[in-house]
Amino acid sequence: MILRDILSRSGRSLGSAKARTLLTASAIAVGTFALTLTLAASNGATAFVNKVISENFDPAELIVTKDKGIFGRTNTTKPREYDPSFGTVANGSGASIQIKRVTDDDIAAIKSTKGVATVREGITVNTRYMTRSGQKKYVATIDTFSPAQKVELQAGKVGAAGVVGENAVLLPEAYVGPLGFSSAEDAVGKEITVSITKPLPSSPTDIASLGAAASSPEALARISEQASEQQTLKIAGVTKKSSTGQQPGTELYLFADAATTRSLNDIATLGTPNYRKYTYVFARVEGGKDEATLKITQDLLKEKGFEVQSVKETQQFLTSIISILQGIVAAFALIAIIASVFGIVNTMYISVLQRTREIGLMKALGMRKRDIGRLFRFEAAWIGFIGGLIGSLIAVGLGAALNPWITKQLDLGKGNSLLIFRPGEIIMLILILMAISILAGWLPSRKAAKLDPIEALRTE
Amino acid sequence: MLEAKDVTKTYGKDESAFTALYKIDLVIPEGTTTAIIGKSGSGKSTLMHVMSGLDHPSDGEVVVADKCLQSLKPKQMDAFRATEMSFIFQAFFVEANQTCFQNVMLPLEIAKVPKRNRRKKVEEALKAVDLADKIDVLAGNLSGGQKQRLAIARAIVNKPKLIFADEPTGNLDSTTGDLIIKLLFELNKKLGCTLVIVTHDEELANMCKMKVYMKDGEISSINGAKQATRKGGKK
Repeated sequence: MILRDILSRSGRSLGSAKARTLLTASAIAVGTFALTLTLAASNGATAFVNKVISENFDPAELIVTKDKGIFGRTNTTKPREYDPSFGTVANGSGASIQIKRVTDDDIAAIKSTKGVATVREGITVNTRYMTRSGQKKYVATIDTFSPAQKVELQAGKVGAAGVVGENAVLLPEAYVGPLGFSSAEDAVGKEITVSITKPLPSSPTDIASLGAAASSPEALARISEQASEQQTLKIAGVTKKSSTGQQPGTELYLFADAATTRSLNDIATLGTPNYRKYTYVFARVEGGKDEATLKITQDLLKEKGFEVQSVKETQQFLTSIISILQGIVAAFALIAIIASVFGIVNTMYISVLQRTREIGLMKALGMRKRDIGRLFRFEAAWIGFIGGLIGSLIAVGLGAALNPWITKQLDLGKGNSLLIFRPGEIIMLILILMAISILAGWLPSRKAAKLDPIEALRTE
Repeated sequence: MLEAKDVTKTYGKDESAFTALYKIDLVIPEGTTTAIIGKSGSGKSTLMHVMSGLDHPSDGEVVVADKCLQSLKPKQMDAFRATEMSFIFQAFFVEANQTCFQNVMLPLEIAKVPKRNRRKKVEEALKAVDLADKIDVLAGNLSGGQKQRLAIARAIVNKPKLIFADEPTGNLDSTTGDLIIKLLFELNKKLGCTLVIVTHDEELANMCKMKVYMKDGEISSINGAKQATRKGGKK
């Protein structure tokens, strides 16, 4: 019997027990549904991370720190020796931890490393407020603009090689109205004022006078105002709301060149232990888009005692977290599929028992043992195919319906979806399910193939 | 020609051994109709199974169209049965959830007949049994007599040289049974195939050219055929 005939006959045979077939396939469909959604979510999350990375980081840059803590690899259970470069940051879980920071001497050492073209400090300045004449004051954070960063401008422009300009900022569109501009175009070229809090005096006399003033809120506000420095910044451009900002909570960041953020940061930290100390810096490597070249410089920096991570490694770290989470969900889906395998075995055994006389007839008519076995294995494969198809179609349908809502709820931005279905993956999934089903049908098919035709024909 | 040479079939071993056939020698000429008659347990079905290659004799050999079935490998045996012989059973064994076309096509699929030739063959077979108009009807919707006619169509679709019919009218009322018998003999004449009918119905047996009477695993007598021979020993 040729394969095509066995395949179509096995498909028709399932029609004799439609309800049983559908119920068995439903069990597989549940697992397939979960696996299809897991794969789609994995695709969506990975694509989003990749987009965020590619739109915010330069692959030729290395992230250089003095402490493993920034990459979450510090052993916090052992005492650490004090070093003046220590400063406080929040770790991934929100706990406040102390880590070593990069000093000016370190930056000099990094710059002198073979292959390093430029070094850019990772500076984020939390201003006291931002305002313009006759307008309300708004809290604002200014981040260092990366030349590799892809921003979509509503108005204005970024100079060649990703330069915002001296004492200039890119203003998020959300501030246009509140700061009294009639439009984004109106804002470009105008100035805003940012207030930077300077460190409070720390001599014993000053502390005493501050203590006395603290009893009066008005007096404290007056002292704070006196301890602030106003800086005027020109609006070089207005940015559209980014769907791929570096991380949640940074949507309203203003961006300025490294020189601008550095000078603002100097005002905020002068006279404190934080002055000219940075959690991390970005070292741009000449020809660093080539992985081998990047690796050479990375190793040289490591030899100098720095902790170094490439953009790709950061990307891998993030996607590995996604993979772990997806793996957990996939494991549950696999359990459902394994459970459904027993359903297939049971169904196929029942099918062999019910069709014993048919098997006898087919053998009498000259059908080979091998073909009888195939007939039942193909039936199992059909069940896997039907279950896989039902599960994946429901998942795709549900995903397509829910994607816009999920995108809105997670604020992923236009053009980004959490669930990305890839036909190739779904086809592969169904093929794997069919293979698993064939394995599940192996023992029943063997029983069918081994049946004695005379005994089979005599069965009542 | 179908020939059983000194065929013995024993089930079990030692004290539990049971001899179902004992030293059977039988020659059935090509194109004839032969009835194997006997009571239950006489060995008539076992003889049919052995002669059709469904079962192996413990001793002796069966020769069909100059081929010794015992010398054939399983693959050759299956191919031989698929092309040279066919079966009609008392219980019809038609697939209720499949159409008449699909039921009759089964032997063609097993014999790997090219798809382009199948439709015509199936139509011819169904026409021969007067079921041409039922080609796309589910077999489950047919009456008992129609089901047996469908089984006959399935048996003749591949134009086998040899048809074994095991109690073909056993599940039918006498009127329908008579029609089926008539049909079988007409097809025998028309197609020229050898028809071996296993039955305990003397009336049906009388219609056959040759009658082989079985008793306790042995041929007790053979009537009506010049070429038929019989040798038998004592168990």
